[in-house]
Amino acid sequence: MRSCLLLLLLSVSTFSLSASTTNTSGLIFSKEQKAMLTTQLSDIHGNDIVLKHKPGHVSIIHFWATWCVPCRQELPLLTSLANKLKPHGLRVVMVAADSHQSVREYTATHTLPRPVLIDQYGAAIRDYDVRGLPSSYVINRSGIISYIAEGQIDWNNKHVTELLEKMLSQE
Amino acid sequence: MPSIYLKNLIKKPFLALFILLIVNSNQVHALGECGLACCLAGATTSGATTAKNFGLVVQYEYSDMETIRHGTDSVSPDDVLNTFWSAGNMYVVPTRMTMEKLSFIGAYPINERWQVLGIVPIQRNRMDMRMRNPAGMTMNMTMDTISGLGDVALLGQYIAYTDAPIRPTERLTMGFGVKTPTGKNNERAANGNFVHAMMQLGSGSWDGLFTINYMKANYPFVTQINAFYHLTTEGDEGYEFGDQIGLDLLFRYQVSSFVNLGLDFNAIHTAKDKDHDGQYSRPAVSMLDNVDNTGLTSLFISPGIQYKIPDTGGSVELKYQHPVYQDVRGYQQVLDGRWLATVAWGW
Repeated sequence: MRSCLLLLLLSVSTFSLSASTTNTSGLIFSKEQKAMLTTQLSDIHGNDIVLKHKPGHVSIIHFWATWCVPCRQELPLLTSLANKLKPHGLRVVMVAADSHQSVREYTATHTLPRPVLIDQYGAAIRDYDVRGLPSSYVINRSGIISYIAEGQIDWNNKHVTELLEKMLSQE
Repeated sequence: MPSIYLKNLIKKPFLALFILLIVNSNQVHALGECGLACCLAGATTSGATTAKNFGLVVQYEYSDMETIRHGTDSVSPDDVLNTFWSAGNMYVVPTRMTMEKLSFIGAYPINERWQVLGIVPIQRNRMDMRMRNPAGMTMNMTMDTISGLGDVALLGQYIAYTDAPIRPTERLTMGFGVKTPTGKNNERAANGNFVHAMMQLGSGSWDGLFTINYMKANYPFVTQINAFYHLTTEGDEGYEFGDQIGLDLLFRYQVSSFVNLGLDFNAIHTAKDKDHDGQYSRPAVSMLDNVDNTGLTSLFISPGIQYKIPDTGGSVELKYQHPVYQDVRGYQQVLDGRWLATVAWGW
C-alpha cells in the first residue's frame, strides 16, 4: 500500500514537472515543430487572401467565432497584446470560423487585431487541425508553429508576454 | 484543461454543430418507404458526417408492417383473400413483416468540401403469411427468416455553399452515389421459386443516388429541406424496382447544450416495379409477387430526440417514424411504424 502511494506521488510529481516545462500559462510547446501552412481564405468582404508566413515576423494565428463565448471574452486582451507588441514585429491574424456577415457586424462594433480573415469552408481549421474554439498557433520568425493554445487563455499573463517578447527578440 | 475548454465553448447554443444534410435514397424495397434513407439520416444528424478524420455511425432499425392498403383504404388479409382467391386455386397474402437492420456508416472527409460515405447494412427479414388452398382452407404460416449483408452504398457529398464551417446558418449540399448489388437477390423458397422481391436482401442492380439538401438555421432552431432521387436499374435476375423520389422537411430545436429535439416530415413516392423476366411474378397465387401491387406515395411524421455525449464527438439518437398518409397501387402491405436507434462517433 505504501509503495503504491509512493508511486502515485512520484507520478503526480513527474506529471507536474512535465507540465510546467511544456505549458506557459496556456501556450503549449509544439513538439512537432511543423511549418506554418499556406491556406486560401477570404477577408470580411469576400476577397481572396492567402494566409502564409510573413518572413521575419512572429505571428499568432487565432481561430475564433462571434458566437463563441470564451472567444469573445479573450478578444480584448488579445487586442491589447497585439497593439503592444506590433511595433516589435508581432502579427496577429484573426481567422473566423464564422460567416462573413456575422464577422462584418462584429468588427463594426468591436476593435480587433487585423487582419481578420474568414475560413468559410473550414480549410484552415482542417490544415491546422483545430479541435475547438478559440485556438491559437504561435509561429516563430522562421515560420515554425512553436506554441499552441487550445481554449481561452490570458494574453495579459506575464509568462505569455515574456515568451512572445523572447521570440520577437530572437533573430 | 480540455474539459473546461469544451464546457466554455458550449455556453452558447451549439445545436447540431454541422447539421448539414439528410441524404436520402432507398435500398430496402421491402419497405418502400425509407431503407437507406433512414441510416443516412441518422448519420448526418449525428455529427459523425462532420468528423474531421473519420465518422462512424451504427444504427439499428426495427420496422413493423402489418396493415394492408388498397389505395388509401385499409383492408384485412381476409378481405384480400376473399377478393382474389377462387375455388381450385391457391392464394397467399402477407399478414406481418418485420425487418431489422443494423447499418454501419463510415464518413471520410476528403477535403473541406468533399466527403465520402460508405453504408454497409446487415438485415434480417421475417414474414408471416396466410394462405387459402385450392380447397378453400385457410392457414397461417411463417417464411424462413432471411438475413445477411444487404446492398452496400457509396456516396460522395459536396458542400456547394455554407456561410460558416462551424455552426452554419445556411448550407447547401449536393450528393451523388451508387448502390451496389452486394445483397443476395436470389434467395429461394422450399418450392424452388424466388422469394418475393421485397423480401430479398438486395436488388441485384447498380442504382444511382442523387440528393440535394438545404439547411437554414436560426439557432436554436434549425430547418432542413432534403430532396432525393433513386434511379433504379434492372437487377441481374431481371427485376427492376421503381424509381423513388422523396422530400423531407426537418425541424430541430436545441433544448439544452446536449439535447436536441427533432420533428421530421418525410414524403416518398415510389414508381411501379418491373419484372422483366417474370422470375418473381406469380400474380395468380400471391399478393406480393405481383408488380401491379407496387408503387406508392407515403407521408411520415417522425419525432426524435438526440443526446450529445459531453466532451466527446459522440451522440445517441432515438427516433420513431409514424405514417400519416399512404396511397398504394393495388394491394400492398405498408409500414406501421419504425424505430431507429443511432450511436455515432466522430474522430
